[in-house]
Amino acid sequence: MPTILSGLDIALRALNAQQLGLEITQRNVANASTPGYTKLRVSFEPATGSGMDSSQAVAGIEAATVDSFRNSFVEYNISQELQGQGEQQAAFDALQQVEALFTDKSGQGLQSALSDFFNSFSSLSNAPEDPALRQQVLLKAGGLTREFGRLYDRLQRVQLQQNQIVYDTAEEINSIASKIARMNTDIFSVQGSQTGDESAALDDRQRLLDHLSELVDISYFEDSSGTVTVETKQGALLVAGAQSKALEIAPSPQTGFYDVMQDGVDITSTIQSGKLAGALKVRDTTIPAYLKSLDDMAAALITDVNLQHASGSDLNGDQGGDFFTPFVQPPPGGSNAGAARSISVAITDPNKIAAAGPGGGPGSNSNALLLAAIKDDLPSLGESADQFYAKLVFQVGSDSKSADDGLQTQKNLVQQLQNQRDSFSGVSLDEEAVNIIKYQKAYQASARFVTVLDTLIDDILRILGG
Amino acid sequence: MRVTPTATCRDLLASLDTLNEKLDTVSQQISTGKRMVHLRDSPAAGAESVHLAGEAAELDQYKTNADSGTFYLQVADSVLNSVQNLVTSIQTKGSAATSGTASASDCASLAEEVRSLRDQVLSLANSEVRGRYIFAGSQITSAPFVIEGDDVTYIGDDEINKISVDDGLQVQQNIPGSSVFSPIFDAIESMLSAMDAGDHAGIGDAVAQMSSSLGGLNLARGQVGAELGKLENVSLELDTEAVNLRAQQSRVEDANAAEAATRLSQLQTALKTTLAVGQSILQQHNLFDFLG
Repeated sequence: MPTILSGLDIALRALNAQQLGLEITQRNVANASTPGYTKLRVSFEPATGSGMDSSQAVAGIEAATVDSFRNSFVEYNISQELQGQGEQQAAFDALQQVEALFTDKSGQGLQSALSDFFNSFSSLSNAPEDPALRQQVLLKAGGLTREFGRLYDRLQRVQLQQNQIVYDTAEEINSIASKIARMNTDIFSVQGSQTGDESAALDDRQRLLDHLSELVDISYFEDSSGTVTVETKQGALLVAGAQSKALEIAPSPQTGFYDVMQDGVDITSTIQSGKLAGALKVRDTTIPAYLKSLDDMAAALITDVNLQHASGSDLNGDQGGDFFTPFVQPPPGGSNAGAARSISVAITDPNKIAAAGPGGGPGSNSNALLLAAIKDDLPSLGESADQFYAKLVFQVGSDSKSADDGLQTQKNLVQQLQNQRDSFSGVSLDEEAVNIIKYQKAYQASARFVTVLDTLIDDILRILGG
Repeated sequence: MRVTPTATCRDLLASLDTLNEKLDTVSQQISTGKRMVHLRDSPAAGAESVHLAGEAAELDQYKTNADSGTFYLQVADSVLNSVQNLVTSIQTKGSAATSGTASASDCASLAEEVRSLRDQVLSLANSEVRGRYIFAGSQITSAPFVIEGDDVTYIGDDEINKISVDDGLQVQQNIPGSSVFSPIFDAIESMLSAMDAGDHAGIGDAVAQMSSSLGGLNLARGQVGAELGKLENVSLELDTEAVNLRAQQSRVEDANAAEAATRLSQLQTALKTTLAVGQSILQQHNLFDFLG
């Protein structure tokens, strides 16, 4: 049978509980627009009436606990989709720069340089002895080699930029991983506290996990002690308990570009997604493919033009020499790497241009005609220079388009998942307003209960005293 | 679904981002006049644009070649015409010298007239245009016909130059002078030596030789006429092709101004509406506004 004085205890517990409710509501309202904040709610546990007569109904709050409305499943999904978003964003940022090189608004692109070069041979066929036309051929050939070099340089610049991004991203991954390891310790120390601090620490850690996901493909799991273990999809450990394990960055002896290593093992090829993978893919696959196209085209031009040039006679009646400086494949051979950067005109004397057919006089134009015709069929490429270049342009556009499309898709996915998360974990001000009233009224009622008890005690005292 | 203000703001921002991006594209289309702002907008159009630019440059070059070819062939045509007239005059002089009434002094003075006409033919055969001797084959840097006494020798070669004036179409740009002029000069030489010798029968033979020596000249005139005809046709075709090509380039590359303007105003309306909606969302009341 409860006593009047124990009733006061019950009232005090109720007052404390409603106050906690108000505090938590205030915390929710204050964080209504904090990204990644998880809504908290106080739940009350009625007293079980231990030590009392169980037949008597006892009103009272035994304990008030703070619950956070966390949906770990959706949060995990968000982190996974952020990886794709990070990857596509990195690719798109790089390819945007690349496509601008090929848009050729100014008409100064490789296409017009190619046309100008071959047309200069065609012009020369009209009057092969004309020194101005001969000079023109050398000028246009120089323009073509410069255009190859310019495009090659710019592409390499984007490639180098990606290399720097690889370095910076790895550093950032290391810094975040060590922060997550620290958070693991913090979370362990606030675990079970009933103030909402544990939830706040979990929110912070989730933000770090999201940020890390944008950078590299990770999977993570939380153990019973509340600490997360983070590793890349292919199993490179990043965080375990209070420890983080750094990615190392070292220039590759083959390419000179940075390799991503862990424990001295090259794990570059195991990085599958995130900004790091996006930058690696552009650096190691996309741009090298473009450079290879340029190299193949330049090497074909050098070979085919030189071959045709050698079958004609120059203005002095001598057999044509090399028009372009011959390209020597770097060992072990089989690759034209560097041809587009090194292509240069071997001739400086316009009279050495072999416009004439074999043994033809200064007015003979048959070789100039054949040189001009190479444009429509480069034997080494098996197609025209225009066709080959158009394919490259198409490839660049398609790559940029697919990065753009992929980025939009990932952004939409992340947005939807975040909305889904917010519908469960986010703060609704309407709901909080209702809760304030609820707690306020309950507080008022409990206070009223104390007043009633006070009156009762007064009455008893009066009876006893009277 | 429970909707929170954060989610609403997130959706609103995403819509605004998309709209602004589209607006940027359309306004760039309008300001540049080009349909393709980024290559990624249409990679296929980008590739086609390369082909079209290549074709356009080629057409320009064909036109240049055709103009150059026309120039040289017209010069050759007018030279060959003049030669034809001179040869007729020489034949007239020859015929006058064959008549029995022509005295030795008549013959001598006719011979002088023939020599003067021959020199004119020689000068025409050594025509030099824009620094090139047009009847010299490929030896265009020196005069192809040299004269010693009455003997004219060809020192050019027989190389024929062709130039490209359209896809798969070449025209002959020059006429090597040997087959045209050498028989004529030979006939003139025979005529002069007969005249100097007062050999009336010989002069008669030379006049006959003269007539048969015109085969090369006539062939060359026919050839030049045919090539000029081809060039005239091809020039017209090139003009038509250029017009068609420009139309196609415009279809592929140019923005449709009316369409772009319509799109711009649509997007502006959408943006305005979204902003208005956004404003009301951001100022949306919640329960707190009604408590107090």
